[in-house]
Amino acid sequence: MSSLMGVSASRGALLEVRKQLQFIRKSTQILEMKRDKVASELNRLLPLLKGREEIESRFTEVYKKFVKVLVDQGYEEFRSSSMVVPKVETRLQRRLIMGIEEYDVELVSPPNVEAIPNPAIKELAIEFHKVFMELLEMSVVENKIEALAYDLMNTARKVNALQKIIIPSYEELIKYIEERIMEEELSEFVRTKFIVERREK
Amino acid sequence: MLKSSSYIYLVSRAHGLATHLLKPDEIESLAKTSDLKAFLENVSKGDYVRWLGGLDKESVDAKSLSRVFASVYVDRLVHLTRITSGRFRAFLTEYLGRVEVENLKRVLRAKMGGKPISLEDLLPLPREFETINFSDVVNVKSLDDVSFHLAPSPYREAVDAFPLAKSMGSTYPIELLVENIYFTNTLEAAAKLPSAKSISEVIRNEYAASLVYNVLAMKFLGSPMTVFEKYTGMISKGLGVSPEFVNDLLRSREDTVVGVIRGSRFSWLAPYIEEAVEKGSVVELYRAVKRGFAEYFRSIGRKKPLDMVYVLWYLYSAEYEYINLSTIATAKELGIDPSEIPIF
Repeated sequence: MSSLMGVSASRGALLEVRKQLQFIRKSTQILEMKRDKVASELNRLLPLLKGREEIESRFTEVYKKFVKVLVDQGYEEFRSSSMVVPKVETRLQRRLIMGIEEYDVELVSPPNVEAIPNPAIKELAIEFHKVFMELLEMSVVENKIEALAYDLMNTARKVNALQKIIIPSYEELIKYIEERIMEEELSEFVRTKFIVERREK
Repeated sequence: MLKSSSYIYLVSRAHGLATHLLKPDEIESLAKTSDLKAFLENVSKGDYVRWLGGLDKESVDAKSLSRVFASVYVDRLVHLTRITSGRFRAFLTEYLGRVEVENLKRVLRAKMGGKPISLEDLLPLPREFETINFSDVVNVKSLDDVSFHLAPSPYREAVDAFPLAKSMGSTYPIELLVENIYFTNTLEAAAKLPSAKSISEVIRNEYAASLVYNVLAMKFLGSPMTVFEKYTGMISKGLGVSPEFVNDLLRSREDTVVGVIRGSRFSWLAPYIEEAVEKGSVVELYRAVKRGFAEYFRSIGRKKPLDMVYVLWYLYSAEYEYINLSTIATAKELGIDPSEIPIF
């Protein structure tokens, strides 16, 4: 019996390979759907990145204000005022969606900047907190985009490999097995016919 | 009226001690130094060499310099208080209470936020001038424990603000009352002095400047006026004005508040804050109020060099020197252009 890719050219093998090809085609379809979904999610998120420049420029403005307030109030007053604000607690949440890792930062106890008794430092803290939260949201989006882009690259590569290499090779294998089976059946038929004819003679 | 010998002695000593203060042009030239190291070298040339001489010039930073300047400031206040007696000493002791108020604020804030605090974090006030035992207070576990230490002190009325402070999660109401008590007590001690009227006027104006800053800043930030409204009576008593003025100040809109101030006994403050109010900027308002009061007390000191007011001028000048030097040190460390350093 002849063989290709370690598969013997038998009817059982043919059925098995056909079954595998069917499974691979379904998988390819699923991967294509995933690729399209990831691509559309990326398209949705990418425009959000435009906001980063604005956030960064606002962050720079707040930093300039921070320097001004620090000069006015001094290190001691800054330290003392910041003591009113209890410890900030955050939680990093990891989610796995379609094999893609996503992270969300949850503020378990947000900083109570309203509690700061020094008005100048309070004003600064409110502005800083606002821009920091926006920056945090932006970093979550950036992280998501990075994960999606990486996954899109992998998924597209898998789909391409399946469509261009794996599926054609399986189709070729099936064709080859079918031909071999047919050849063997034909040779078996000829042999049988020859034997029958010899007996009849 | 013939002035008492202790009065003349105190004013004379204030004149003598004032010669140790840095002149405005010296402060300005310090602001123009290239960096923190150059600033330290220049400031160490005068009287400050006693306190700064031991510092390592290479590793010194603005924070440690500010601490030194704070020590010098407190030393100056304590020194003048120690060399006086009777009602003058009583007044200066009350005045010195501002250092204790500052320390109390630091402790309250740390306890409210559940953060550790030690005596090193406070201004170095000698125990004899403290009405609260800070060695104990810094070690208490919670904000409620601080109230137990305040109950037997001159700040007992501030205990009333603790529930509100806890509900807000801010020490602001307590700080407001502590400040009010401080000014009220200082004014009571000032009333017994020979130049009671003029001294009280200056102190009231300082309190008014602080209050105007706080009220307007809260307006800019859109914060509720609940705290001020609750203690309107106490505030108006401390300021020596009718509760109606305080109410008008609290209720007036941002565009009319300057008019309210202009129509009051604190009208001197109005031109300074006008621009900051227009901009709605807390930072600008802080600078305007500081600058306004500095110009106000300097003008008073110049007008009455042989009066008790001159002593007050010296005390404020010492405080402003501390503020200016700390500001310059911080600005130098941050590499800020000399033209942008606020000097009062």
